[in-house]
Amino acid sequence: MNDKRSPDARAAFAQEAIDSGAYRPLARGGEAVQHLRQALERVQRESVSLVRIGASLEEFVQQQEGRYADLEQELNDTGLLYVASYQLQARSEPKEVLRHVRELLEQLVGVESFALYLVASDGLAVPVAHKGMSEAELTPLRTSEGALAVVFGRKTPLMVEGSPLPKGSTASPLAVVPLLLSDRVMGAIVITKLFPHKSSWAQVDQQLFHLLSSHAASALVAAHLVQRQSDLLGTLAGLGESLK
Amino acid sequence: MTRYRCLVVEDSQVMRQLLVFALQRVRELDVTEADDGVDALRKLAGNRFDLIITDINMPIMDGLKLVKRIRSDETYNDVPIIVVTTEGSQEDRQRALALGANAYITKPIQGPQVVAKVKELLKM
Repeated sequence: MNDKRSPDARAAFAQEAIDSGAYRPLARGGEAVQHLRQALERVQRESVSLVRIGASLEEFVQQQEGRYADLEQELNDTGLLYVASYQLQARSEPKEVLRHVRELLEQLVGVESFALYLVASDGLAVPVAHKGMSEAELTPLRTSEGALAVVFGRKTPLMVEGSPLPKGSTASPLAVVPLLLSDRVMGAIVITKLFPHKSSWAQVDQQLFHLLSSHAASALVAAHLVQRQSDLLGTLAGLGESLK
Repeated sequence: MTRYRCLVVEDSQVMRQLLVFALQRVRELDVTEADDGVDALRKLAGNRFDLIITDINMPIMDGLKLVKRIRSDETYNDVPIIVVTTEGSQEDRQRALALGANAYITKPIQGPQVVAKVKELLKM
């Protein structure tokens, strides 16, 4: 389209347009580009910041999930210890206590073979209950030798380390749990074999062994005394007297 | 809130109490306990359950027979069943699944795994 205006008229029109602000000369165009660049940089910075926030949020969520899983596991372990303690103390017959010791070891720890020894008057530890062990293995043990000596000395459970755990035997057990009555060791649980799928100890196993160590003997003795006492109500009356 | 009823069949008091302890973490769940398969059938009669968790090795009536009986009863043949087995007893596990059990958990049981399995089967 041809502009019929004279050069002077065109120049006057252009000047008027510049003066009114309707037309941005090249210098103003550069400023707008600069503004755009700045805006773009700002958006890029915000984008980077948002990505960082997203990453830290993701990390936070992962941490919380981890904590939740830890809490769930701790709750599970606490429940397990509660059940173990409850079941041990709720028995009134020694055989029932033994059955529960066996169940706890089998069902909660995953023990395939163990023997429970009580110390006889001659100082030997005599097997009184077992699971998965041959008669040949069930001989009295000297409390002054081997793993028993260690456990009788330090009065805390002994657990062999390793993953997978080595093969155990009566002579070199996988774990020995002393049976404590007050501060006296009256026997021990000797664990020689775990179920095939159990290749190492779980964290809660140690806690469970400590619980068995401090509760099993008193539960056995209490059940024994209750069983021997024909006049239980009379005994309870005596208990009332002794508490006064 | 929808409530679900779960029947736990286990002769070992230790295991039963442990299972109940774990299941109590699911707020929507009401748990009923049974000592063995016969006790379970007695409790199933006339009651609606949404899920059954049963041990395999039990006296009187074991878990496998119980699964078979439940699956042959049209009232309960669609109720999800979880069997509790030991890691070594793969044969029992396979038989239970073949008889109609939906899933299994292995001893020693872990509470979070039990809860996850229950929620999965109840689509919670």
